Formats: sequence, C-alpha cells, structure tokens
Amino acid sequence: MKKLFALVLTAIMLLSCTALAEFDKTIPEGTSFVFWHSFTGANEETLLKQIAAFEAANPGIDVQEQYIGGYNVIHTELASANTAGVGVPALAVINVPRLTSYAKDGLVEDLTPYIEAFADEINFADFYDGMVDMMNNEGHQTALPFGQSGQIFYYNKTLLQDVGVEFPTKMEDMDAFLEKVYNHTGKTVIDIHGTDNAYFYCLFTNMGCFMIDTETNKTGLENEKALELIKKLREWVDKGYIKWVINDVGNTLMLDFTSGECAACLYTSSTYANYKKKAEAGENGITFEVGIANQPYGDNGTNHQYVAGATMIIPSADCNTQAQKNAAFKLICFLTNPAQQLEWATTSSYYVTRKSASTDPQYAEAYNALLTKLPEMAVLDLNSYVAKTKHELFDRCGDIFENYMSEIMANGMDPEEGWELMVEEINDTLADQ
Amino acid sequence: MFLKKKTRTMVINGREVHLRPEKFYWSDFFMALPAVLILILITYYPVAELIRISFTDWRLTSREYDYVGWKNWIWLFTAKTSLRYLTNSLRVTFIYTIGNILIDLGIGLLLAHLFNHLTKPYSFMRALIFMPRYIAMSSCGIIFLWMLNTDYGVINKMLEWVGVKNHINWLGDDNLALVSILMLTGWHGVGYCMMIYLSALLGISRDYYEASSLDGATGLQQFRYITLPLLSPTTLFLFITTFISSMKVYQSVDVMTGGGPRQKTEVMVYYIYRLAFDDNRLDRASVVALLFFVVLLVITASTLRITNKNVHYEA
Amino acid sequence: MQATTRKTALPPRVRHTVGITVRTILAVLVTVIMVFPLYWLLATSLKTEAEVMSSTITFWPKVPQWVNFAYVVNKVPFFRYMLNTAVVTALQMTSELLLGVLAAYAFSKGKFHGKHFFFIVVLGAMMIPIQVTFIPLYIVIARVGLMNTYWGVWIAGCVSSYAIFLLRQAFMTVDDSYLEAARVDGMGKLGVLFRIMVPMCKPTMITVGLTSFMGGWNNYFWPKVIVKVQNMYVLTVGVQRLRTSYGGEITNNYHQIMAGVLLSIIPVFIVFALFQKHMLSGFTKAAMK
Repeated sequence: MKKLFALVLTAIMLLSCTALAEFDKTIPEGTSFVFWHSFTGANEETLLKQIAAFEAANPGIDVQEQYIGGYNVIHTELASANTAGVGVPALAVINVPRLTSYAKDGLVEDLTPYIEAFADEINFADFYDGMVDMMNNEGHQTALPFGQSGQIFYYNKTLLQDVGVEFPTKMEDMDAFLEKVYNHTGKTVIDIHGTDNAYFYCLFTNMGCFMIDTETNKTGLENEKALELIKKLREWVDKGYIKWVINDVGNTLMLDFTSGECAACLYTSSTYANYKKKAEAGENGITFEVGIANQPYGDNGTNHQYVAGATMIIPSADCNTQAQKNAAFKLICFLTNPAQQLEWATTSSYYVTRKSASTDPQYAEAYNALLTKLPEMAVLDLNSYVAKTKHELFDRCGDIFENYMSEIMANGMDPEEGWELMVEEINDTLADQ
Repeated sequence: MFLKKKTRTMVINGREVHLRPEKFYWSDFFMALPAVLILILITYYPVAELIRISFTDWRLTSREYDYVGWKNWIWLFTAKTSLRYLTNSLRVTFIYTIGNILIDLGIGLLLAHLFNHLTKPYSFMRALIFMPRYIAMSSCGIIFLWMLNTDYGVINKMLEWVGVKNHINWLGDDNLALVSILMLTGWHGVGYCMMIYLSALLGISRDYYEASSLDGATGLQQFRYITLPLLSPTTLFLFITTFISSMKVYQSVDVMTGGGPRQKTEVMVYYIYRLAFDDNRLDRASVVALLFFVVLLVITASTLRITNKNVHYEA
Repeated sequence: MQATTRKTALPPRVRHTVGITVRTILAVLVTVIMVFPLYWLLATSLKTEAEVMSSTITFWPKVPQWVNFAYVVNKVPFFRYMLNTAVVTALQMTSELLLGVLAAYAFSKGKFHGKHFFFIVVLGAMMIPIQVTFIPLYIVIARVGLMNTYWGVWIAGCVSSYAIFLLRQAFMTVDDSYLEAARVDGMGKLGVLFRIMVPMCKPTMITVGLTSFMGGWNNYFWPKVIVKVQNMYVLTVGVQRLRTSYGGEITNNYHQIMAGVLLSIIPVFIVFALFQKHMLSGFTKAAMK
C-alpha cells in the first residue's frame, strides 16, 4: 500500500515537473533569507552549528535564523505576517497539524518542483514514508520532515526491573502492570500529558476510534469503545495508577518522573536526551535508567504511531524572491540529509527522518554514536509511523477532545456524561463549516 | 463627571432662550486634532476593517477572500457552536469583571483606610504594595504559574503545613481557575486602586469628621455617611476604568490557563483571539468582536447615565 | 450611645494603643502577603535549576546563583533589549504627554464645534482591546515598512485616552481667571498652556508620565507582534523568549526567566523610587472630579 502510494506520488511529481519544466533554481551570490525556528537550549546550539556549516559550504548564502517561540507563537507570527505579505520568513519550522490549513489556504509553497529541481541534493525517496505522507496535501508535498517527534512512554527501567515487570506492549496487559507497580511503590504509575490530545489519541485509534470520520463527517469517538476506554482510564485515575497532568505540564512531568513520583510518563520523544541526562545524574534525588516504550497495541492488534512535532515549510508569500526560496530549500536539503539528521538527533533526540541513516553503512559510525548516547531510540520503528487524518478541523476537534478528557480525568466529571457532551460538541463543530 | 453636556438653551423668565453657539476657535480644534486622528487610525480604522471583514470569508492563513454577505452574522446568532462559546465567554467575562471590581475597589478601599497614615514606615509599605503594578502582566503570570503549580508550587506546599494535604489544582479546577486569575490580577491591580482611594481620602477635609465626632457619630457611621459619599466620584472613576480593563482582560488568561479548563476561563477577548488564531477564522472573530464592542459600549454608557445622577461632588 | 459605653470600658489612651497595634499588625501582614510573590521572584532567580525543580521547597538558595543573571545577559542581547525598551518608552511618554496636553487643553478650555463628540471618540478608544483589532493595524504598519522599527512599536501606543482624560480633569480645575490674566499679558495659547497650565498641574503631569512610563515599559502584546528580529525586541518580549521549548511546547526554566524579569524591572523600580511621593497627589484631581 505504501509502495503504491510512493509510486503514485512519484508519478505526480514527474507530471508536475514536466509542467513546471521552467523552474528557475538559480541562487545568485549574496542571497540571504530569514529562517524561523522553535528550538532552544542545546538543540538551538546544534542547529546554529549546522547552519554555520551550511553557510561555509555555500558562501553565497546567508541564513538569518531566529528563534521565535513555541509552535503557537510561530503560527501567530507567521499567519499575521502572511496576511500583510511583509516580513514573512523564507523558511519556517511549524507544527505538523497546522499544515493542512496552510496548504489549503496557499500559505505554503508546493515543494514538489523544488524536490525535482534539486534532485541531486535531496533523495526524496529516502524519507520515511509516513512522515512524507503526513506532509502531502492532495498530491502536493507541502513540507519536508525535520524535527519530527512522537508520543512515547518513558519509564523508569531500574524501578521496573526491581518490580520485575516489563512495560506492556498491549493495552490488555496494562491493568496487571499498573496494579503490580502501584502495589510496589504506592505512587502514581503513569503521568499522562493531559492537555494535548496527540499524546493519548493513539490509545483511542488503537481501539479503532478516530477523531474524524471523513466519510460521515462525524467523530469516530462516538464509538462505544471510546467510552469504554475513557471509563477504563478514569478507573485507573481513581485508583491512583494514573495522573492526568493538566497544568504546567512539561515541568510537572519532568519533576514527577525524575524524582520518582511516577514510574512512567507519556510525553514527547524530543525530551529523551533531557530526561536521560537528569535521571542518570540523579538531579532530583534518585538515579535511574530511562526506558522508552511505544504506544501499546489495541485489542484488534493495530498499533498506530503518529507523525507529529515539527516540519519545515517555505511560505509562499511574494516578499521572498524565488532565489531566497531556493536558498531556503537548499538549507532544507542540507539539514535533512542523513549525516546532519544523525548529528541533530544525537543532541535533540528528535527523530532521524531518513531511512538510510540507519541502514546505509556510510552512516554506521554516526548511527552507532547516536545509539550509544540515546540507546532507546532503537526501540522505535520509524517505518511504522503513519499520518493522522488530514482535516482542517482536526486541531479544533482535538481541543474539544482534550478539554473533556481533562474534565473527566482531573475534574471528576462523569465519564458517560462527558463523553456524550464531547461527541455532541465535536459533531457540531464538524457540521458547522 | 465624564461628560456633562453643556446646555445650549436657558430658561429666562419662563421663556426658553437659545444661546448663541459657542465661539469656534480653529486653534483649539487643531490642538485636539493630532491625538484624535491618531486614535482614529490606531483604533477606529481597525474596527471599520473588522466590519468589512465580517462580511467576508477571510481565513487567517489565506491572503484571499470573498464577500459572503451576512453569513457570519447569521452564524453568530444561530449556529450551535457560536452560541455555546459566546454565552460561555460572556458569562465568564462578567463573572471575572464583577470579581475584579470587587477585589480592586473593595480591597483597595480597605487598604486605603488601613494605610491612611502619613508616617515613613507606612509610606514604605504603600510603595511595596504598589510594586506589582509596575511589573508586566506577562511576567507576573509566570511567577504565579510557578507558585500555583499543583505539586511543586510554593502555595500548595505552604497549605500542606497548615494541614491541607490534598494539593489544590489551582489552574485546572473548574471553579478555581478563574479564582486564580482573579488572584493574579487582584494582586497586580489592588495597589493602584489603593493609591487612588488614598489620594481621595487625603482630599477630604478633616472638618467633616471633627464635626460629626462632636455629634457623637461612630467610625462606622462616619464611613457610611461621610467617607463613602465623598468618595463616590473616585469610586465611579475607578469603577469605569476597572470595568473597561476587566472586560478587556486577556494577558493574564493567556499566560495562566489559555482559557481552560474547558473554556471555564475563556473570557471574551480570549475567545475572539482563539477564533482568529487557533481556528484561523478572522471572519468569525470579527463578528464576535463587533458584538463585544456593542455590549461594552452599551453597558458603559448606561452605567455613566445612571451613576452620574447619584455621584456626590465636593463643592 | 454605643460610642460612649465603649469609651467607658477602656481608657482612651489604651484603646488608642491597641488600635494602633492591631492596625500595624494588619498592615504588616497585608504587606507581607503582597510582597511574597516578589520575594519568590527574587529567591527563584537565585536558585539552581535543581533547587527550583525540586520536590522540596527551599525558601532561600543555599548558595545564591548570580550566574543566572550572567546567563540572561549572555544568552540574549539583554542590554540591547533594555535600550530598545528605553527608546520606545521615551518616545511613547513624550508623545503621550505632548499630544495629551494639547488635546486635554482643547477638551477642557478650548471652544470648537464637535468638542463633546471628539471627546467621546477619545474615550471610546479605551474600550477597544488591541488583541482584537491588531490584524488590520498590523497590515497597515507592516506595509508602510515600520515593522521591526521603533516607530512601528511606538505608533500603537503613542496616544493614550487615559492620559488625555486625566489631564483634562486636571486642567478643568484651573480657574479661567489665570488664563485671562495671562492673555492680557499678551501670552499666546501655547504659552498659556505650557507656562501656566502645565506647571500648575505638575502632580498630574507626573502621574500621567509615570503611568505612561509603566505602560511603555511593560507593553507586551503589540511589540511582540510587530517586531520579529531579535535585536529589536523589547524587554517583555525578550523575557518571554528566555523560556525554553521542548517539542515546540513551552516549558519554564523558572530560575533564568525570573532573573530576566528581575533585571527588566530594575529601571522601573528606580524611577518609581524617585517619583513615588508625587504619585499620590497626581490622582487627587482626576479622582475627585
């Protein structure tokens, strides 16, 4: 299926490239462009180093990189600059779910002709299929994978070894696992990031409940199985197995996990390096080894791992010249090449977006270096990552979803009542367009 | 007090006499002009634009749009999604506004009385209480966010010492979230109200109190029959300014809760902002914004109309 | 009478002392509560990350970490931010006061048609929050090329309805006879305004100046939107950008942010320490009329 998809994609690409045979890929000397990103700390340092290497390799190009803020800030700034048609960067890092609207409204360039024109600098087929698929809107490649992350479980390996359990790979084993660990520690077993549906959405899709059914234009969460899962989660919350964290989430998860207040937490894969460092240094009182687990399989044996996190786009605004956009694309080519991806992943623990990074012997050394530093990365099979439903109301519906989940899990709302209200509100939202 | 329209007619000997129109000085007009023109550019022009946008289907992420007639206005008053969030945010805004006025004016007045002492230590303490006011709300929000953290915040830790073992979920609880925001904005604004009340208290002549003391009035009676009436212009001033700024509250909500949990702190401005920037619906945001301005205008104007009659001005 | 019975219960002097003591205790208590968040700001800014991010609360750091301040200053062009903020604030104060004084004179002592109408226009502007209207304004400002400039930041706050209102209230209390006298002496309107009215209303001028200073220094929303290059940031925006983000989600490295906040308010603190005593008298006129 994926192969077929790739084939169709290539065909479309070829077609569009014949149509746009005139694509002008020149980058005159002295081209400079603005690049907005959302990375801080060590990640930013690595990125700057890579950009410097890019500039050294391309003396004619000057990159003006700029940290703008988190994903939401980038969105606000980008969209407002776009309405004015002034001050739009030539390259930006955005959050994947925003892409659908951007593509629909023509905020972003279609990268397909670029991929063709710069074919010798970027091996498009080498990207993980799921990632590329997520960034494809109606046949147009509107973004390229960079800074991808997933929603994974971190667990205290040392503790689980003491208890003598493994982190479950199936949802059906979860009950026993939670009980066992809870009886051992008497503390919360899993902290869940409760204010972003991306984290717990997989649990639902693995039960066959999707946020939006594009055929009926209704939510798949109205499936009774979703209610069952909600009730189950609530039961675990009531028993003290699970803590649904809904404010100052990033800090609370980190503190709970590194100080041993919980045995595991569900959060973004991009904090792995940070958690590992803190846990191994014993910064919050206990020293332990960090393990990583995928989302558990659902009862029908499916397991969806979703592509999330950042992605790179080139805004279409006219205030940037074609040369600037070309230069921006050149930087994408550079940053997404396997060698740079490996270096980037080693500090940032964002996913490597290229298949050859782990398979091609050429990168074996760097890949081993990554695994030495972040061994658990090997647990994740990036080939299994797939795209979420691409719908412009996905985010809005997701907000409603997480709002009700917080109410049910942290504010004591009756699960059935909350579920009914949630389904109603999401369906209303979908109907209202 | 804000507007006392000059009468253009006068009754002389039972006959209504029209006065000559006031003299017109171009120079006076030109002195007001720069400020008025700039205000028109920076506030009224955008409002006019909002009216235009309200008839389009402009999405934030798009550079193109079409005119769609009254579609957005119909949506505003009929769509389930609109009414659900609109009524909620109007309610939240009013609750917040009432709460904030009570805190700022009520506690501000109490503090003004408490600190109405012209000694050095008191003046120092007054300065300290005023201090939060000169820190940006965006920064204050972060301080409170940290203090109110459920498991690691200092407030819950201190409550633990006095026996509150269950950590209070300040920002996540349906009812407490708004209270937390009121705590933040109250802390930020109460010193300012105290200062203004204090300056008004200092302006009240001692004679009133001395005279009433001789008549045997108690402190409470003095407060009720002398202080309060004489402070009424100040109260009206503060009421109107606090009312307007409370209705416009945004920054504290943005830093502290982002409108959550489940829209329980989604005030009007935040809702409008969310429509425009989360849902990318500039068109819908515009109609809600315009409705909001009308509500604000009507309430402010009627408050002024009612209170102007009941305010006591010192001769 | 109630008052007399109480008077007989306790000798007046004792009653007075008790009253003073209770009052002082209350006042100190209130002050402590109000200052606590500021104390927490200071304490947090001096802790190590581990001390901040720890499950046990420490009220004062074991070893004050002045490096947090060094970090802030080195990490971002902090003094550049401060300069930007100072320039924008100075521009804003100047224009708010100047345009405010002119308009306030026109609305208090001036005579022209539409005076009330224009005054309503001025006051009405107070009701419109910038978070709702900024997109059209942003488009205009960006298209005329004022993005990332001091003027672009300044323009949205260069006139304040509140300042005009306060100044008008103060000017209305100036008796017309002063103006007549000055005019007889051959003084022009501007002369009257700046040589007589403004000096007479000095406390209000100071109050308005301070309010405008605070507004300019702490302005956050508009500068955040209109400035997109790092070396033109103002302090409030710069401080927010000290927050780290993981996976695009803001987490709070509180010790460093607090250090940034603390550094950013020092100038305000100094200005207020100098002018605090004038603040009180300035509001009297606005508030009593």
